Amino acid sequence: MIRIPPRRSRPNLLLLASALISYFCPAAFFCPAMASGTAGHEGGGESAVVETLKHDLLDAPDYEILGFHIPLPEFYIAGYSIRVTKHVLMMFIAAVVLILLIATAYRKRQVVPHGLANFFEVIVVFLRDEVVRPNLGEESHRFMPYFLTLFFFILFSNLLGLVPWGASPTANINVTAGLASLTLLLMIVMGILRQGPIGYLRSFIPPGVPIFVVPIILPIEIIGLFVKPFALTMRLFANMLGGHAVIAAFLGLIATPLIAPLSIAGALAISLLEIFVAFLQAYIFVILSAVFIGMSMHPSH
Amino acid sequence: MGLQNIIRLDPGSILWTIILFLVLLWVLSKFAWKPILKALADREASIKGDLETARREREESGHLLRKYEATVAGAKKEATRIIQEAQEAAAQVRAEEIVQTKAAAQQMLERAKAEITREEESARKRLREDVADLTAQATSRLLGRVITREDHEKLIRDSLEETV
Repeated sequence: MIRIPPRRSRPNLLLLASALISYFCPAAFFCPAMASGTAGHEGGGESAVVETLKHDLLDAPDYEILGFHIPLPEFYIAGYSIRVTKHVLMMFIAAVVLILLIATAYRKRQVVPHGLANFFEVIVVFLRDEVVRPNLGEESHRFMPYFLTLFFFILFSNLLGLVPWGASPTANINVTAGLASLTLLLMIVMGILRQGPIGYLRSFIPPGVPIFVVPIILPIEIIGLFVKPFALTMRLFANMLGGHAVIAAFLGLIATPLIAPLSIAGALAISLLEIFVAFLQAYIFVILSAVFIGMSMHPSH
Repeated sequence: MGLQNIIRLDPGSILWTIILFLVLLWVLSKFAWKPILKALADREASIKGDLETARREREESGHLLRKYEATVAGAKKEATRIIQEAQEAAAQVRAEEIVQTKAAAQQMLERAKAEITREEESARKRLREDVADLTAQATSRLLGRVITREDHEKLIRDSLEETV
C-alpha cells in the first residue's frame, strides 16, 4: 500500500491575503480618529475623510507608524535635495522583500521547482514566452533581466500598498515616471543601436508618406515617442492611486461604528480586487514596454 | 512637516526610483535571473533531448521490430516451403510406391494366373489321359473284350466330339 507522506502545512496565498486585509478592520476604527486628531493638532479645517485620504495616499518626508514619526535621510547632489521619502523607503522595502523571497525560493538548488520557486518560475516562463519573445525576437534573452525585474518590482510595489503600514510607491507619479523613463531610454538606445543614428531618425517619417505631409507627421511621431512612456506613467500611477483612493474613501466613510461593517466589507472587496489589479498593471506595464521597445527596434510597420 | 503631493514632480523621487531599480536590476540579474533562466533553458533542453532520444529509440525499435517481423515472416515462408516440399516428396514417394506395389501385385497376379493356367492345362491333360484310360478300362470291362489302343482312341475322339 502506498503511504502518502503528510504534507507540511504552509500558509497559502489566500490566508496571506486575508491576513493583509484584516489589517483594515482595526485601521477602519483608528484611522479616522487619528486623522481627525492630527487635523485638530495641525489646526486645519479639513474633515477626517480628507485627512485619512491624505495619510494613506500621499507621499511624506518621514515614515509614520503607530503615531511615531521616523525621520528619513536627505541627500544633496550639487545643492539639489534628493530626499528619501516614504515612497522611496517603500520601494526599498519592496526590493528587499523581492530579493529575500527569491533567495528563500531558490535556497536549495532543485531540478523540479517546488513551492515558492513555482510562483516565480510560472511568471518567468510566462513573461519569456508570451511577452518578451514575441516582441523582441531573437535578442529577447538579453532583455529578460530588465523585464523580469520591472515586473516583480512593480508587482511588489503594488502589493505593498495592501500590507499594513505599507504604501504603494507606484501610486506616486514620480516612481512610475522614473520606471517609464528607463523604458523610453531603452526605446531610443535600442532604436539607434539597431538602425543606426540616421536610420533611427529616418524611422520618424513613416515610409510611403508624401513629402508635403512630413511637416505634419514628424511632430506627431516625435510626440508619439514621448506619449508612449507618458501613457505608461499615467496608467500605472492612476490605477494604483485609484484603488487606494477607493479603499481610503470606504474607510473614510466611517463616521459612526454603525457604518463600519458596510465600509469594511466594501474596503475588503476593493482590496481583493487590488490584488488582481496589482498583477494586471505590472503585466500591462511590462508588455507595453516590450511592445514599445520592439517597435522602435523593428519600425517597418 | 507637511505631506508632499504625489502628483507634483519630484526629481529626487525619480532619481531614487531609477537608482533603486538599477541596483535591483543588477543584483537580481546577477544572482537570480541568470541562474533561473539558465536552469529553465537547461531543463527545456534536457526535456527536448529526452523527447528526441525517446523518439529516436522508438523509431529504432520500430525499425528493429520490422526487421524481426521480416525475419520471422521469411522463416515462416521458408518453413512452409520446406513442409510443402516434404509433403510433395512424400506424395511422390507414396505414388511411386503405389505404382510399384500395383505393378508387383499385377505381376504376381499375372504369374499366379499363368501358373494356374499351366496347372489347369496339365491337370486337364492328365485328366484327359486318365479319363481315356478309365474309359477304356470301363468299356473293355463292359464290352468284354480288349479294346485296342486305336479303337479306344477312336471311341474317345468320337465321344468327345459328340460331347464337346
